[in-house]
Amino acid sequence: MPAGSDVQVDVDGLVRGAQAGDAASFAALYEHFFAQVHRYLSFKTGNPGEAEDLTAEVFVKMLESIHTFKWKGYPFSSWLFRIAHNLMVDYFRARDRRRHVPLDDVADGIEGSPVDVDSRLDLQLTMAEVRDAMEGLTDLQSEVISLRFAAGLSVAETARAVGKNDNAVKALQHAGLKRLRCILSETPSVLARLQRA
Amino acid sequence: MRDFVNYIGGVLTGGRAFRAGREFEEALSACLERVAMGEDPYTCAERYPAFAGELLPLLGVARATSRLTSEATYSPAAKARGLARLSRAIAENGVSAGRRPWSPGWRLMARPVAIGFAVVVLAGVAAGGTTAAAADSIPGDKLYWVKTTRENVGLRFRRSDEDLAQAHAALANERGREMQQLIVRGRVRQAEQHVGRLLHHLSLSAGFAGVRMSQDPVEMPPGRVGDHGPDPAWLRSVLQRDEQLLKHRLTELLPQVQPGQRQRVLVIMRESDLGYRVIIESLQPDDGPRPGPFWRPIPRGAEGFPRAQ
Repeated sequence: MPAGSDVQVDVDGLVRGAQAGDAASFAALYEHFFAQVHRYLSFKTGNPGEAEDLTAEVFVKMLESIHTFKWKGYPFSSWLFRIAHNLMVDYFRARDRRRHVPLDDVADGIEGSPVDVDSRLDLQLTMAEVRDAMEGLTDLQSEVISLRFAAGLSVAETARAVGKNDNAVKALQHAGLKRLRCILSETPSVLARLQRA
Repeated sequence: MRDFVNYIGGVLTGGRAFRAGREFEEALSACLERVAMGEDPYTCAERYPAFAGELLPLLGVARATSRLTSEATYSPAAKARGLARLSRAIAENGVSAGRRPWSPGWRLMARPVAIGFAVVVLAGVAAGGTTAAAADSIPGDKLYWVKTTRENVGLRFRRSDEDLAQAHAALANERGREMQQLIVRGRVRQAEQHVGRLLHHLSLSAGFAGVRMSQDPVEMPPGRVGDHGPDPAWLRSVLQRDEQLLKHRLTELLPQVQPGQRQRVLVIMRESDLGYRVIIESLQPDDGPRPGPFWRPIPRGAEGFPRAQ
């Protein structure tokens, strides 16, 4: 899931243009990444309205610090989503809503894998269910899941964004999905829906 | 020796488990990419029969989560506001907030950059019909920034003095309409402040029409310098029409204004009327004796200026 469809849009060229002060390049970068960043922040905050404001803030921060982006072989999207992540952290700090669940605590509560959820590839979930389930992941697992499946970043882009290598991201992705599956399996509303189906 | 063999066995076993785990993660990652591109999860899982049982449920959760997040929507107005905010940040601080390693001339680009952004903003909001909705907005309304941005961008694309004189006259008329609406809504204080904006556009319109403006229009009334610039008769007739229209609007409004604010509205009327008439008088044809300024019944002197009493 490469971010921003880099095949169609020359993101590198736009970034160079933006660093040179070209207005059209800034506008094009905004157009290209807006939806992705908004999806990511909407998923993390659970509030589309606040996500809109935060998304705008991301691009202002991008403007302020684009001269610091160096071409070291990792994609611009990773750098941009790191800004988005930092803003999201500040958001939660301000609202005191962030809950950190260490790995050890999570492991104790998750046992078994009910067949019902495993067999439903067309599983319908609500945002509340997923976000509640995400509370049971570690910070890194949650971040990888958000970047991979909300923002649509590739493994490589996600790795650069979280400061890990590709293999670490794949491992985190595996562990995160596995834990999500287990938590959702024990979510009453999900089970009730499956039983009605 | 046995302990050593057992130790080596443990390492190998653990290593095999480690490799199997790594292989599963590779398979999961590959299937996630394929499923995201539209491939059926079962098809992908068949490529890795040893892992299929564990792959499928994880693919199901991933797909459900992706589908959910893809439904997140944003309002076009919010997107346009974000772009406008970016534009303002550029206009205020320049690119990279003053840290400009690439060129000492970046400041020269700040205005074109801001204009370029404003054009993009307007293209974005126009597509959503927001521009039409903003056309009737007044100061204090949420979409008023769209209207003023559109006006400013429109001014940038005008080339001739005649165009600019015409544009500013139209904007002065629009400020008068906004003033009327502010009074209707009881926002008399804002209307008082808005007179300044009306006079500003009138002054600019006159300037582009070749009228010399001074600090003290009473002692040194404005007058046209030379014959350059647009046809003054045209601009004079436009301003006369707009002056009469604004006077009519505000006069009709007076009975509806609260008694305590009526005097303030009268002052607004006089200030705006005076602004119009000063400019209109300055655009009178310079062919023969001109009457003195309408506020002073003094014949004009030889040098063209009224004699001081």
